[in-house]
Amino acid sequence: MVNATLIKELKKIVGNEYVMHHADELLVFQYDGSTDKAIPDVVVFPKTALEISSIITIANRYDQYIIPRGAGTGLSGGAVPMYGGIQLVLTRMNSILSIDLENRLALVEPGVVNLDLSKYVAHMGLFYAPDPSSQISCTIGGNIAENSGGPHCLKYGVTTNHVFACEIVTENGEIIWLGDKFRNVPGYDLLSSFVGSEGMMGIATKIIVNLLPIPESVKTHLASFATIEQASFAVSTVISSGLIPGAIEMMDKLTIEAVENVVKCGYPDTAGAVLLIEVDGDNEEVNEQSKQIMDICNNLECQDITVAASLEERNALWRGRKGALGALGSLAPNYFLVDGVVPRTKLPETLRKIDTISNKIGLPIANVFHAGDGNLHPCILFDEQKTGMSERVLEAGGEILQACVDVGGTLTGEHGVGFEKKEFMYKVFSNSDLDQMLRLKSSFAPNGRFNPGKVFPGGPKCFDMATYNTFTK
Amino acid sequence: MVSVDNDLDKYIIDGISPAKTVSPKSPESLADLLRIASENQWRVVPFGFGQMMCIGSISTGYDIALDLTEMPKYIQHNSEDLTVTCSNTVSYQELSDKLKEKNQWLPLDSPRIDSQSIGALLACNLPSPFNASFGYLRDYALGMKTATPFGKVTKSGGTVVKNVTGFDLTRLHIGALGTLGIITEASFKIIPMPEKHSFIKIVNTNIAHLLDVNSQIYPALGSVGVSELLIKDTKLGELYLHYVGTERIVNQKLLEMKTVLFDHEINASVEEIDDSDWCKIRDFGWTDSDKGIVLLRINCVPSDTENIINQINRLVPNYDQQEFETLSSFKRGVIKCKLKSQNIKDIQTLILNIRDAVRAFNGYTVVEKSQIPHKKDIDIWGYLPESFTLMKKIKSEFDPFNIMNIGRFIGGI
Repeated sequence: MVNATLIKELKKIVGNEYVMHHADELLVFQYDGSTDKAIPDVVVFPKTALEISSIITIANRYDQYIIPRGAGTGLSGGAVPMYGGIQLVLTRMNSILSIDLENRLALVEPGVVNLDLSKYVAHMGLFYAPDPSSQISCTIGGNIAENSGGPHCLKYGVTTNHVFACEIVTENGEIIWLGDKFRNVPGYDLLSSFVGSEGMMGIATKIIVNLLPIPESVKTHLASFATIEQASFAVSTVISSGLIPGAIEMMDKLTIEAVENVVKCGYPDTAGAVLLIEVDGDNEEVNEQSKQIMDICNNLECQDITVAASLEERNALWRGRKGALGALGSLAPNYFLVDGVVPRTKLPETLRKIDTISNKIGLPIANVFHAGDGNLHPCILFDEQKTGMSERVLEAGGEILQACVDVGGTLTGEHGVGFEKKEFMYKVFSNSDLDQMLRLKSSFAPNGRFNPGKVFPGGPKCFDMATYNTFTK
Repeated sequence: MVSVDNDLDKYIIDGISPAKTVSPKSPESLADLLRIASENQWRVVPFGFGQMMCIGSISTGYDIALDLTEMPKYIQHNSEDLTVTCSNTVSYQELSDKLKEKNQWLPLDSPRIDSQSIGALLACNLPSPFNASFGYLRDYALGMKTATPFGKVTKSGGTVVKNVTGFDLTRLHIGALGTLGIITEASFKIIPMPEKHSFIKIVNTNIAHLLDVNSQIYPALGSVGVSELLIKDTKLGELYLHYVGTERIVNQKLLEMKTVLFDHEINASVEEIDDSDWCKIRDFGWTDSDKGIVLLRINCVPSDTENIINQINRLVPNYDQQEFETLSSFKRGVIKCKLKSQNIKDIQTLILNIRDAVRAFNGYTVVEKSQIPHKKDIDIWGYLPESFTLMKKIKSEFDPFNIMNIGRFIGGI
């Protein structure tokens, strides 16, 4: 628990109005986008790296945890303060500090909203490629913590492929840079280790990201198939043909129904599944690729394939995809979103397994996902008010992840492990594997001050010391 | 596991010979060996095909050469998923041949790549011209297995193309020169083989003109082209271009390039060259005829490349050089300098002066390849990044008994 002296010291650093500690003020910070909940002891809104450094110094003195938070859109409980402590909300640090046009780099603060950066540089003919579905509100700092992806990372890569450098505040309050404005800085690649470390190794306070030229032309296809197996096979065929589209997204019948209930973007109600396939590049390249995609889908006897004829039509198709999760609310009071990855060729097999799990638990599971990457997002629809339902749903989620792992896949493609999946880590990694990760964490943050109780199985000190000590000298 | 005491000569690195060589036959026996070495504080150096052993500072302890060539060799190519997993002992050439059967490719072209093992490629992580159009090795690595000094074979990442499960140790080991563990297996995403490659050489004695040509062509390269500017003795210049993609795109880019030359009234010899000529550029400083040279690698912000070249060209005439060449990538911000002189002091002073000049632009200068006297007198890694303290902590966490390839990495790690 925090005491009045600590709060007074925090207020002295950031100002009275940027410290929250009354119970009613804290309630909103108990959530992120996941099902996990926990209330922080105090919430602080710093403006600079120096303020964060001072806050960390105080946290060390008072032996308090620090839990960084961006927009709170995370889906694995990453920003939920499971063991209390000081919640560090970085949304005031939301400036785009500079654009280096010549080298196509942007220097931004962690609280900058993902989509705002692309909007800011659009008139320069540039965009920031990682585009999580929550890009309208998620922050770049949060994206760094989770190494976020998005529909278009099929072609462009995830966050780690676009971050060149980060200024971070370490556990002892030191402010240092990892990486530089160019790749191949001599020494260990600490930047890559930091990206995706889920807020456990330091707080990013400035970030240099790479910007890309906006493609000359974009074509978005809507292909409908009678069954989800057929659609999955089309995905494998497109990928193995050598095409690398900007995005291939799949929605099953249940999702289509929900989207058409709410968003009404023209997805066919007779389809068992639809694919959104987008290609971008120069005009001729896009035309060539579009023809190839049409040929593949037609050869596989798709029900129909159309190309968005205008920007409005394209936006409508994407509005359906990006609004799909929200639309599922029209089918059930709650959904539990699973994030697993399988090799693309294993999509049909895994989707069949998910269907079996759905039948077994007697709950519908909607599938809306990044098919081109094999990144599944099964959504288990349920009502949490019904007794024992949450437990059944969590168990089914575990079974789905096991099905992913069984075919050579993994636990998370873009949402992170967070609190939600940490006990599943043994499905993929051994004690020795986790020990190596823990050694990395301990190099950055030996006292476990940052975001405790995430990623590693066990309590706030991770599975830390029990296993870790057996390997030390 | 076989231990051999004779035939140590082939394991000599920078004049230092190990006391023993050991050839583990499996990742598990390699890990076991590392555990025993840790317990006894025997200092080990991993040794693959031995092509790149001159990289790094002089070892501060070399008891055992770990000859990895008898480790299992395998390639698991999942062509429909566009992924491949292979053991560390597979050569890049073998991997490429396998991928080529399905018209796929891991797009790398670092020096001597055809004769390097995958383990060495990952451990050394030398930059390459293709980085400009295809990205870096780090962008293709999906996961790996490593043998650790704790006697375990550990895994990070996986074999799927998207994965944020656990911390990213894969990229930590890339370029770590085997100082944290020994890579025994790696998985990569791969790409379809491009329809066409085209290599072009443009020769013009006027360096200013060539810089101008490069600056005109450079923006139009897009993601399909690479330009490398070779300057010999600060006077003669050759601009090498590599275009890749569909036949149509490559032909279009070639036409654009010729238009630039015509529009700027640049009188230059333009010729299409073949693969082997491009390999000379790729292997700059690493070819058989490059014995006795010192090779510097400069990394800088791309827009500073031309200024740094000019600074270096101003510095060089003050020193006695038998041979001086630079190869520069404006797109990546990489400059390689080849120096040769009988005068050891002269060459060392030049290296330090180049390093200072580059530092003024916040760039780094690493001696990628040199002879023993220079390694003794100069810190080949140069200025330390401000995160170096963290690097030392990582080394002590991953290799607490300090046995892994010691003293050869940055800052004496």
